[in-house]
Amino acid sequence: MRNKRFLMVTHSFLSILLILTFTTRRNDAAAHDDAHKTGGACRGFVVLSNGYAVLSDDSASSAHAPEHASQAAPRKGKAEMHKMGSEMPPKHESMMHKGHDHGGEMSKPSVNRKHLLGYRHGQEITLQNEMLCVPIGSKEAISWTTVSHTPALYIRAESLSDTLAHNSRANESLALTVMHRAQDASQEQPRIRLLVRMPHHDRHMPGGHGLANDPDVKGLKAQLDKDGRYRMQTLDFSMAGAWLLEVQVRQGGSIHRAYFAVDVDEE
Amino acid sequence: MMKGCFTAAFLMLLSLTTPDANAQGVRNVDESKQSVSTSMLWTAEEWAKARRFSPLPPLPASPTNALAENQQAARLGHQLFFDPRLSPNGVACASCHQPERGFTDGLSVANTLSPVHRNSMTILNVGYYRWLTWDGSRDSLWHQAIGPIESSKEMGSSRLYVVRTVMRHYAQGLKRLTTLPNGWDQLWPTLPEFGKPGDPAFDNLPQKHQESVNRVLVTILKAIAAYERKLVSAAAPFDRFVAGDRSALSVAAQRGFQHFLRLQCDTCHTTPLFSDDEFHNLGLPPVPEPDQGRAEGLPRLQRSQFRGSGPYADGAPVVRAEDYRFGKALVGSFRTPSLREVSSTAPYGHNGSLATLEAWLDHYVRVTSSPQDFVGSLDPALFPVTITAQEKRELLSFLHSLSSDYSSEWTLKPATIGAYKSGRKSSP
Repeated sequence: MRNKRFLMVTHSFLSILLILTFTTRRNDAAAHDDAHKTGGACRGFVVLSNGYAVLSDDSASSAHAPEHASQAAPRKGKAEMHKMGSEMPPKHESMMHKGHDHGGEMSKPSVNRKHLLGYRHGQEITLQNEMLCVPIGSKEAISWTTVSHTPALYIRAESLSDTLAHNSRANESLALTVMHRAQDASQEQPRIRLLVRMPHHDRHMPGGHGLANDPDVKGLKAQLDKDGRYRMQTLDFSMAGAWLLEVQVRQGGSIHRAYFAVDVDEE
Repeated sequence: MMKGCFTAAFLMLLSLTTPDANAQGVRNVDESKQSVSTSMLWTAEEWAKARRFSPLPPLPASPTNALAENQQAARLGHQLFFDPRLSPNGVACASCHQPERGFTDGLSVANTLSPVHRNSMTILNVGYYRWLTWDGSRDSLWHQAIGPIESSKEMGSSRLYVVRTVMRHYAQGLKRLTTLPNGWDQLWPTLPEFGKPGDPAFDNLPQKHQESVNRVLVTILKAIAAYERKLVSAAAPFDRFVAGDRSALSVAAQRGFQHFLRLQCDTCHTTPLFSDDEFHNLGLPPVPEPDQGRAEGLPRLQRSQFRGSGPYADGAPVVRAEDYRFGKALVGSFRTPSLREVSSTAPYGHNGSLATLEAWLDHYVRVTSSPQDFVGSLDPALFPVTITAQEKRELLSFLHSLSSDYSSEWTLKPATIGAYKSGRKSSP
């Protein structure tokens, strides 16, 4: 009888303990979710589901994420992001080239911000599904790690000179180390293309303007070097400020994208 | 007690109606006579930015021109710059780049033999740029000089005419700078008097002779470039103020600098040159004709045999034209001019369509809110601005403080040189 009572008490105690533990974990997840919704604003560029980027939090250009920052995607949306796959919607590229006029035609400034999906540059943006937060490296940074929707893709970028500056007498150059554990085990050497832009300078050009040597953001091809790294030899940043760099890795018929952001200083 | 209350109330009323002389500076006072310390006007951040604008640093190297720092080359170039004999029409470089006019000509568009479609840029501080001319179709000073020389509208000359003229009058000076091609002394008197690529007189020459002509021409151009590098600003009032002379800048000019930063003019007018040496479309009207700007200039540069990465460069260029690609964003874009010496270089804009600095400021306000007809797309860095009349006055004060007394031995016309033709206003 006594043993029965003991067992019942122990059973009840353990049950209560289990219930409490389960409840706490659920609260933690909920709290975590809440943090992403309310307190988890991205300080950097937010890449939207349509491929365009918004500068989140004006102070992101002056108060930066630590060097080598690699912001993970929020837990809540990760499964949904994986479902998206690695291909961006086809409309992405065509949208990026709109807003330019042919020579000789008249043009008026565009204030159409539909590509920002209701967001505006400078506002605090809490990540939602299919968004990616790209923190802006500090002015002193000389290396960066990308963020991507593709978890198997890891790219490290390094400046081949010094800290990045808008310099009228020299151009910048980067080395990219690409690690992509493709599930299809394709042996094809990846082809790398770099698209560099200032997304928040999109008043007359959706997506923002590009480098001085790639003004329409068509992308610059990286050259594979003997050491296995890819080199971007000429990056002419036309002004100081925050720039978003998109690394496109083309392999086996697929395009995978990874991003990092830099803060270019004045010379 | 009542008396005390009334007194207190009166004093309170008095304090409320008396202007606070310390708030936002002294009002209704002639600022040119203001004796209050002006060093307090700028914040620490503004001072930090000011120090990035001043002083002008030493000239950067010119790796494609081995004669860039050669004094003898500069002296020869000095002569050549003012010499009208380089053109059969009596036009010299100085015809459009007049020292007394900030090395411009004071015209909307250059017009010596016939009007061109662009404003004459100043030669002052030109050694600091990597892209030359409004459309960046030249990537070195020596490369730039060939354009006006062989333009039928500007000097109406040719490389054959120039090399023969220089050999007639400056052979010794040239020989001190370089070893001339083998057999040149025997060759040049036999060359046709006039001719450039596209003319049968030049095209029919043996390839070897064409190459020799080009080699001698390039030496001449590099000597002119060595001279042009001597034309730099002296310390302007803005520079003296930043260096510590607190009386050098009026309160109005100091406020003007603050407006300059607030309006983000330093996005493009940056570095001590007050130019980012980049290309922007500011929506100027398509007069006297629609102008593609950099969109045409870049391909022209890339095709030129005298580009910095070409066979006539003495060293690797700072930037390679081949590394740049055409983009629609370049249409109608032009190189940012320096704001130094801007007081002397009116009218303004690539087409000289803005007669005064006031007109320029008005244009910025107008084009960002209600742009008129222009070529291409407006620069993405531009945003709507409003400038009050007071702010405009102060901005102008600041801009004028960037001009210096740039005169030196190098700005004087050599005594041995005869008169040259000057530009004239275009017919309406």
